[in-house]
Amino acid sequence: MKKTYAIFKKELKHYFYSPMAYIMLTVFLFISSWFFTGMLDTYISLSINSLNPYGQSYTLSLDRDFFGPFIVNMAIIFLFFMPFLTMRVISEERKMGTFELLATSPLKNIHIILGKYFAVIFLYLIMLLFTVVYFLGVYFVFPFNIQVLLVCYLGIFLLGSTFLAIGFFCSSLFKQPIFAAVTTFGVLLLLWIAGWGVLGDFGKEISIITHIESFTKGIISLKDVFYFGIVIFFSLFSANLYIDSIRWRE
Amino acid sequence: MIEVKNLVKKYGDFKAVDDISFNIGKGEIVGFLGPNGAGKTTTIRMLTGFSPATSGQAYVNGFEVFEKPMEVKKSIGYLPEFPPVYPDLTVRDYLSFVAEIKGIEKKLKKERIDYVTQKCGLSEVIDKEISKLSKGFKQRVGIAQALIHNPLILFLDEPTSGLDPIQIIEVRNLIRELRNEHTIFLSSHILPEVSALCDKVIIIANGKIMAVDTPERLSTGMSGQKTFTFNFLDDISKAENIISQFENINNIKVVENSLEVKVNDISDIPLIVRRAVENRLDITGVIPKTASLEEVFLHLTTKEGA
Repeated sequence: MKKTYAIFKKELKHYFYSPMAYIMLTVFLFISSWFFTGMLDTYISLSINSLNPYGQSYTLSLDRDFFGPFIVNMAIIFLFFMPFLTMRVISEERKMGTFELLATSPLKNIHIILGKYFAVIFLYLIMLLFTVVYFLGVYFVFPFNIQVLLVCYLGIFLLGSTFLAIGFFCSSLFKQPIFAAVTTFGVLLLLWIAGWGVLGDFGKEISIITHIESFTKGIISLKDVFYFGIVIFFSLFSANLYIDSIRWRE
Repeated sequence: MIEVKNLVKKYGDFKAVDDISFNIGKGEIVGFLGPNGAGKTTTIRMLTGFSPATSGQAYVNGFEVFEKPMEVKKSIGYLPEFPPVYPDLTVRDYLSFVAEIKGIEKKLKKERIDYVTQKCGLSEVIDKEISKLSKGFKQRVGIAQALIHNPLILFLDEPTSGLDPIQIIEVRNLIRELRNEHTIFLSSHILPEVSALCDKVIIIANGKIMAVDTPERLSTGMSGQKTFTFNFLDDISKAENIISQFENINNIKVVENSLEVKVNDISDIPLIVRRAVENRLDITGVIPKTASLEEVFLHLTTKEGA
């Protein structure tokens, strides 16, 4: 536990001593707030339409027509962001030779992997926490049922954590962080579009984005929680095996 | 402290380390000498528990490296060829991190950091970012890192490579200071370094051990202390003429204005001197010639091909 915490602290120092964390946060907040105001605008014009007695009859719902789509939108932003967040996590240790320090210290792989994984999750939580401010703004003007939003956040948290775990595995494969980033992006995109077309229902099952749908409707589906859990476990476990194999080869 | 038995490391068909065995006692400082690519780093990586051996056993501090890696890792400090530092951390943050992953108690941490800082001369740079340090300081940070948990055994892989001459002297002095407290296993391809620092030398080439001995014995063993260099005030060819008439001389040649004489027995030397004086040669020096480690090294590592 102490050793996991030592790794965790060190990782956060890398992110916060360098411009990395600040750049990520700034760009993320800029883009996500841009989307947020845009979608809020659309929602408002929709609600004006729905008030028009001669217009289409349509019952608006904040959950369905605003929270859900915004969460999916955030998922798209994370698809582009997560590869950069995880790319250096293992590969840079190998590139700089510090992997040898970790591997010859009385540490187990699990200390290294969990310490590092929790650190990127922590950074991710900070990013999510900032977006809560957007909804607070809406809440003050128009109080809404908070439960659905919480479930939406649980969904996006699980989805993002899965992205990070996949990125973690890809980072263990390469010595150059940039290769890890490109591979992560490719894998995530493939998993995303797997639900489109040719693979049919099977594709929908393995696709990463279909598993967030129930959350956006305010439903916690155990099946989806399991999906994310299994992908996270499998990715981190594969990273563990790959890290061991590096030591056999070098 | 370190016991290696028939250690082999293969990469595919290539044998990087080919059936080596040796022993290192407590408190010894041992040089592991060989050309680049001889298998030095591979051996060290196996002994530090970084990479597993293909076959054979290695015991470090009494623990088998492959079976009890945690115990081994607790008792060693390791400086790889390139100091394993994080450039974006300060020296203090870095040492504190290493102390934590080595499992040092929280109360002892500050004390240990202070100790290695003082020992490795890092006080002036302790709050600087490592990326801003010179190569020499980075190397010292690397050594500090290896020392922080007061390990019984230190593995130093080419500790002076890439440093300028002043930095080299500093690092060597530091290693000398450490010799009383730790068993040190040091790899190098620089021969004078090994002869200046080590009690014992293990010479490795092409993954095989060529010799294990003290630096002095390796040098004298080569020449048998039977070659002497004579210096004269007189014309060197005249001296050669006179001395070469002496019957017990094995070999004689002129090397850079002095005479190199090889004899069968050391008692012949006073006779040669007497003969020279009788012939009115003015001797300015008689120097026993020991083979330099370079010669030993070349001799041992090339006889394979010859």
